[in-house]
Amino acid sequence: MSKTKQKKEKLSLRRTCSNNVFMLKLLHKASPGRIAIEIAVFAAESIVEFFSWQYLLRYVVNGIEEGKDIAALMPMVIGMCLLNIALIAVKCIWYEIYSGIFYQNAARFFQKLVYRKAAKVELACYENPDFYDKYVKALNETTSRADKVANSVSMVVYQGISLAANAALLLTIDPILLLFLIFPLFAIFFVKQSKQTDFDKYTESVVANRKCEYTRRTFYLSEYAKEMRLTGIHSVMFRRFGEAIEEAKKIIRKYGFRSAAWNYLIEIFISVFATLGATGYAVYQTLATGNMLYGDCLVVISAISILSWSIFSSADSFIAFEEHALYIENLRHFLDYEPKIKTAENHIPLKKGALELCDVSFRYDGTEKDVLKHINIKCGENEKIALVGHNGAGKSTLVKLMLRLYDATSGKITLAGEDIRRYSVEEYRESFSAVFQDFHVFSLSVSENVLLRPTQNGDEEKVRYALEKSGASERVSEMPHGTDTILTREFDKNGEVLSGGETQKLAIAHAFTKENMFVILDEPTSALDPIAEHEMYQNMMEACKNCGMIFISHRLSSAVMADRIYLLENGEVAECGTHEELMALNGKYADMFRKQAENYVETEAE
Amino acid sequence: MMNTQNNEKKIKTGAILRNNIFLLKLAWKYTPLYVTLCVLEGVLWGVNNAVDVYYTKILFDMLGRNEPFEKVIKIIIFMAAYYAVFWLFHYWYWKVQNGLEQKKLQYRIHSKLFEKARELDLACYDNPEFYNDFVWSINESDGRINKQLNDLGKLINRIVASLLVTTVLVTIHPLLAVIILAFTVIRIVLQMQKAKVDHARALDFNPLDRKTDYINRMFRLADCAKEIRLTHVSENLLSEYEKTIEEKKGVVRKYAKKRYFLSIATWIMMNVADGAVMLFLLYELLVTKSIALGDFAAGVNTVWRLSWLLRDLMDRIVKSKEHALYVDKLRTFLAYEPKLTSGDVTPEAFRSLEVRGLHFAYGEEEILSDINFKIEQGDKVAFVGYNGAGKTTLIKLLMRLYDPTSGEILYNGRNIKEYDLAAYRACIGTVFQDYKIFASTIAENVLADEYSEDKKETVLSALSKSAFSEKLATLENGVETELTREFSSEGTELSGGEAQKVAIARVFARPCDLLIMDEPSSALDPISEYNLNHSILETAEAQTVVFISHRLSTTRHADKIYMFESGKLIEQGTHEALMAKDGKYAYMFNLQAKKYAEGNHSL
Repeated sequence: MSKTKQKKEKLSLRRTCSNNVFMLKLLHKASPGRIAIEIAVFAAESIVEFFSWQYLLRYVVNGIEEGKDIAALMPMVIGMCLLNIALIAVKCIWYEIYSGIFYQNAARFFQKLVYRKAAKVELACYENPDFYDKYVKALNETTSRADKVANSVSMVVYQGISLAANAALLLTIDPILLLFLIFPLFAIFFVKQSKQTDFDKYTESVVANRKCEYTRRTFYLSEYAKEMRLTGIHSVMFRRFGEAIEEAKKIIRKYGFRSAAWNYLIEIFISVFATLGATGYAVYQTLATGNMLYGDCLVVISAISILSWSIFSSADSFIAFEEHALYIENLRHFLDYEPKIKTAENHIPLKKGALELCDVSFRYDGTEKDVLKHINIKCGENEKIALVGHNGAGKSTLVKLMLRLYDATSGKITLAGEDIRRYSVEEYRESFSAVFQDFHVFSLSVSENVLLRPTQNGDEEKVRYALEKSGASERVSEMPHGTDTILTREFDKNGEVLSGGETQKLAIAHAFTKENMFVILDEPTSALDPIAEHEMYQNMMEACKNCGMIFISHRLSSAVMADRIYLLENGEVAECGTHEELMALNGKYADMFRKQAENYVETEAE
Repeated sequence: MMNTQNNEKKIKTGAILRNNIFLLKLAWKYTPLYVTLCVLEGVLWGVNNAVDVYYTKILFDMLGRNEPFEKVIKIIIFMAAYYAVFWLFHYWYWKVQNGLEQKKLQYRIHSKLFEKARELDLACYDNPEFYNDFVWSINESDGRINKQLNDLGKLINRIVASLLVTTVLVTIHPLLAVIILAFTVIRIVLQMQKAKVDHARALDFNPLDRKTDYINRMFRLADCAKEIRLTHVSENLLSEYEKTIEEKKGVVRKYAKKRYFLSIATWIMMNVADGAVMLFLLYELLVTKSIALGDFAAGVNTVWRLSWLLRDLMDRIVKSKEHALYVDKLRTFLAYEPKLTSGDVTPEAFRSLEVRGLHFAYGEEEILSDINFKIEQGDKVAFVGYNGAGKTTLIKLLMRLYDPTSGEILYNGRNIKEYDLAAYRACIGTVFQDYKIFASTIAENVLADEYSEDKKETVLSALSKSAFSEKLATLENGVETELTREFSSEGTELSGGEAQKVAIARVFARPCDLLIMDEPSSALDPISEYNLNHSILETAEAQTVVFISHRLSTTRHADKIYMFESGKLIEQGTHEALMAKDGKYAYMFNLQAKKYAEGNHSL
């Protein structure tokens, strides 16, 4: 999703620790006990593994060399076997039962945390790719990341124990052996290099992969199907696919050899220098000088390899913490983000009155052009006003400002004479009903889609009334469960799917479910046919007798009904007045209206 | 989204084998080197495992026999040299060549998949099951095929290794191999049981995962950001989320006991096996004295290695089942024979298009019934009617994206099925309501084909006809401006109206005698719409044009208007004739005109 190029940022060691601790604390809150249990399980595994393998082998082989008989050795073998079985019984309780439950609890905690935050973040954040990237990551990865942090901690414990136990064993056999551990320590440096190379490779290939994905989509998604069959555009797409593949290959060639070299070095340092080196030394001590017991020699051979790889993997785990920290940094930014549009502490109760825009200008963050320039618009308590104008004149942005989805860059918006920033955001928005062209149908019941809030007793009547008014009741009554029918095929193959026009009717129904101070319609009828549009407007006008109404429409025929019309052009109010006044002005509106009416009006003349 | 069906069906062992072979053949056909390297790597790894074990045995034997150090160190040095060479190949292959081969295969296999996808009848897209499978099979094709090849390498590696290691084991003591085998069989049975339980659990989880994914999407996507902020719908979503988590916990609990016991049994089996082997070797060493101390140590080591290999081998076989399911879908897709078959007649210049007794149904539901009309060269025809009256479907039939259920469509008096499909479609210029802008240059979008300098005139004139020139002048790279940000972060994103103009320009860029416009002006503002309509009529003076619109002002100048209702053609004639008839059309027209008329009278 993110199209910004990632850089491998660096965090200070302190921040890395603090971030991981932050996550662990949250996880502890989300599912208490989970971290401790997992660490205990890993620790037990590490200990038992050491004893039932290295220690047992040493015990048995040295015992044989010392001439012990089978009866003396058997109790230890069987004992270790039983120890293992006990561990398994405990371990499986964790893996097969509790870890699943714990995970779900954590998911509930974390997802709700981020969703709640997400709903508060203002709309402008969606347009900021950096922030959006953080936002998406927070939503998608938080739970699994928390799991990974806990897992990394457990892994470190596991490896730490194994390291300590094996090192102690080597120490008791021959301290010189520890010298061979220099090689895996060297390898840690290579690990870092190799990770960096992989990361660079990944970062570069993101773009190439995205291109591939895009072209593939054009070949299989239904929305492209018609054009792909009817035109030659497929050859363009296929050429681009090929180019993207070549790009990906170039990246592999660029980084592949380097990555191979680092990994080769790691392998040679660990399996040849450390393991075979120590083996050679142990064999020398056993055969040439006779300083080492046979069993000890065997243990050295297996322990040194385990030890080398543990050092290598601990390095891996520590690098993982760095990676976690980067991610958590992201999450913390997201959670700490203070929404810019929020209720002021000393807010005042909502008052009824006119909505007024005074000298409002607006530009989107990070852009240099004002989308709206010095706008003055007024909508009285029960007035109907229309916003008309070309595409891109700024009508939809204006509506978003009225709903306080954005705050004006300069100038102010007032309701009943008070700056809208002085009201509570929730209360203020609650007094509006807005219907957008791109209304989204949720995979919830019809009722919930109409109410857009959890249902309560007595809602049935409201929903029925609203559907009736918006002209959707006939369609809904045909559905198998009426207003309880779940919409979309998201979860149910036989779910109800609405057509464009039906969707709009449903969206409009929402406006009929509550008392509004203002109703805002952003081209709500573009997908409706003329008759449905006509009925809808009539119902709407009736329902809005006691509230203000602001509507955007391309069809000027509906603008005629407005008390006042604002014609927007390039972000400015070019003309304003009633239909009659504007026609008399004989300016842009009149021109536009005539062009559109031309065909209809000729009929009148006949 | 689509990965939900992946393990819902059961599949037989024979089919698994066949499907895996099918995929291999496919890969072999496109990238023989890749397959060869996969197999080679597998064999080398297998041998490597055996070398490791054999080396340990020799080493322990020599230690046990107290051989001179010089002799032993030679073996160790040999191993060092061997590793140095082996790892060189290993990392070269995995870090460089494997990736390159994957890309090569991806490219070659997609040229086939894409071609096939384009042949697919549009009707297939209406069948959600087929469509899901189809999207899934293309979507997964890269990952799956590569994974399967790599898994194949590993499978070969495990088989070679298991065989070789077993041979080493037999040289130590034949009975050991028998013990290991016995335990392995028991474990396989347990593991298969576990796999079954896991599968059932995954099935229970699927719909719940889909639900949480959906809720996540609702909070993530900009589409519903407005609703989330302006209404309380987020509370509905959160309570759904809460419910789903509880259900998920229920699923975890439901299978916990079975999974617990099967897991425990499997693990214990492995432990008992290790213990039994050690005791057996101890017995042989100390009581019957039939093996040496070196054999004992090597035996323990080898058994440990073998049991790991066998466990892994089992996992891989289970996994290959997954691949097989995937291949099943891929095969269905590749084997799909388009129902729309091309004829071989080359279409001549357009004279007439006639629809006779046409019926069309999606499944049970009849969308169009008994449609009859004829369009002659030079006609300007309008299709009008309510939403869902079947107008767009009719256009799709005329374009031969579907074939009628009954009745026929005649182009120049000949059934369109007899024409070469691509050539026939190329005769008609169409813009659909749900046109798409592709991530390529403006020129390529207009031509809907490859662009070269000599086509510049065509592109420019088409864009000026669709009223895009003004916007074009503001773009630095002119017609070579890259659209969308898919390929370039500097790409231009067009607004809805602008995009529509580019889409409309497509029609003007093609020298077609017959143009079909499916509500081309719905996203345009009044002035653009006005200009566009004029422009279309002007340029298309000699051409035949079919409009679809529910704005009747757009269609009123048509030579003939066809009014559709619920899949039937209910009225037809000129605007005047239909107005005189005072039927449905007149009612609809008056309704729309009324407001304009009122507005104009107020002058």
